[in-house]
Amino acid sequence: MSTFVSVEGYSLRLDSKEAVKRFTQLLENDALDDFISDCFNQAVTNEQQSKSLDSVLVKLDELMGKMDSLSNCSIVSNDSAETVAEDAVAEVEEVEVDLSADGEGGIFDLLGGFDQFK
Amino acid sequence: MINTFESTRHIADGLASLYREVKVNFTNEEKNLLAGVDGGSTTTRVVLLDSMKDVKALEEVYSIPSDFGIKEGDAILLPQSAELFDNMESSVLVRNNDFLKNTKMLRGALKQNSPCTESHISSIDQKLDSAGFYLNMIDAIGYAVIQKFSDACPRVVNLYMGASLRPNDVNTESRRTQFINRIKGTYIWSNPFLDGVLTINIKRVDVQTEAEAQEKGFFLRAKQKAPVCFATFEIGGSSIGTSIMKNGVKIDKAEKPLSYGGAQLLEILADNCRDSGKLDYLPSLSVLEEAINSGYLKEGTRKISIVKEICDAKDKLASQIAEDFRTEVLAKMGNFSFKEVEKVFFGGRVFKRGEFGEFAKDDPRVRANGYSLSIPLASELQKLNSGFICSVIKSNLIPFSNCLLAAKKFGQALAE
Repeated sequence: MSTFVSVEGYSLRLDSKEAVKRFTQLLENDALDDFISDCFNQAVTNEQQSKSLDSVLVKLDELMGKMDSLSNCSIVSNDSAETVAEDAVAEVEEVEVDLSADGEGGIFDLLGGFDQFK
Repeated sequence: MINTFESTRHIADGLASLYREVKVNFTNEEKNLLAGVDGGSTTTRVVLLDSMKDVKALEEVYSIPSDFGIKEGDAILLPQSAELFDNMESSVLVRNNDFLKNTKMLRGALKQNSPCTESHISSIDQKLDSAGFYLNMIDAIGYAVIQKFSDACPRVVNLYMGASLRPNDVNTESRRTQFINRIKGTYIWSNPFLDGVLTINIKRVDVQTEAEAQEKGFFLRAKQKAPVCFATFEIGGSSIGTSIMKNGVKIDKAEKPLSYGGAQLLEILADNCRDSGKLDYLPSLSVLEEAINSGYLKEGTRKISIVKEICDAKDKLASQIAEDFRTEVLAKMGNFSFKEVEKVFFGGRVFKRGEFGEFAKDDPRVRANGYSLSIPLASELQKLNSGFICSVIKSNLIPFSNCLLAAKKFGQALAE
């Protein structure tokens, strides 16, 4: 199962648990922004005369490929990601909470639930 | 052919109880009450309890619109009808309070039709420092008391209160204390259309965040054991509160409010409608508030589907929330991984999916006749953790939960 992450207008597809783990580490260490920003800066610097989407993508792909643990990470444009998003529609349950009266203990019955919160 | 029309009024969500006549008989009684108050930017809601056995009272939520006008001058205002919505002129006299001043407030039809200075709770200011937020709570309590005890209304109520605030209003002990000290006190509440005056003594107060109130309210009412780690997104009209609990303990760093909410969705929708070129006019936000649930706008007798624009607006807002949650909340939580989260709760009117009827087929994203913000938001969050379960809590449990907080802390007051 792939995980899709939207970054800077592109979607990264993380195809392995290792890739997800590495990506999460970058995220947790607050290093993701710097990493992405470096990728883009390098890509744009090298292609100053031609900042086409393809050249940036190729460069970004290349840079990402250099990271061993992200070797299973590929990049797709947002157009492709839309197709993916259809497959990844989340399941959400809707919960209606019944507030109507029940129980003999009155309010005290409900207050017991506070014990699980510290 | 002559058509006859029956006049109908647009009744805002949760305010139905105001569209009836309330006759109040005041007694000389003094009464101790527990109160749960939810001071939202759109609506202020109150639950009152006068007995620890009366679970049914927790169902009775009394609401007022949070926007009010400060009355100018002493003109006598004439209501359109005997319904409470048309008679919402109230006066709050403040005793020994440096923060609040005596105020005459207009709400409902009188606010719409009379000269006044508008007051509303903004998304940027802290509620803690907004006098309007406190006045809303006091006014809502006044209106709740006269409705709940209309047959025999006490002249004096001693109130033990649970309230909720945005996370940045209660994230330090000094702010909590400041809020409690500002709201505690004696207020003389009156309405010129009633034959009596109510003294409200706010004796003791405890406070929690809005997201905390919603999630605790769910587990208390559903009598369910909470998962080891769960997250809550409580979205109001002008702010989003987030909360993450692990092993029953709130993670303080997860409570960073984002300063936009349901109103932002309408603004995005307005932009989408304008850009679509489908309309010759720019609909007002109040018109869009209805359209976001029906899926169409009216132009004369013609119905114009805006289902695609609604779905696009919800997708855009979801993307913004997820991005801000990632950068403003998760990125600053140190060692915490969102993958630890087993369940995510969504709360707030903004998650209503709507009923698009004949227009439901206009966009493939529509499911079960509507499209809830929860779908794109859950999809966005599942990019960070694909293993959690997502639930929308359809009921607003904040006043209920705040009332239980008051019952837990001050329940003995009802035995006195």
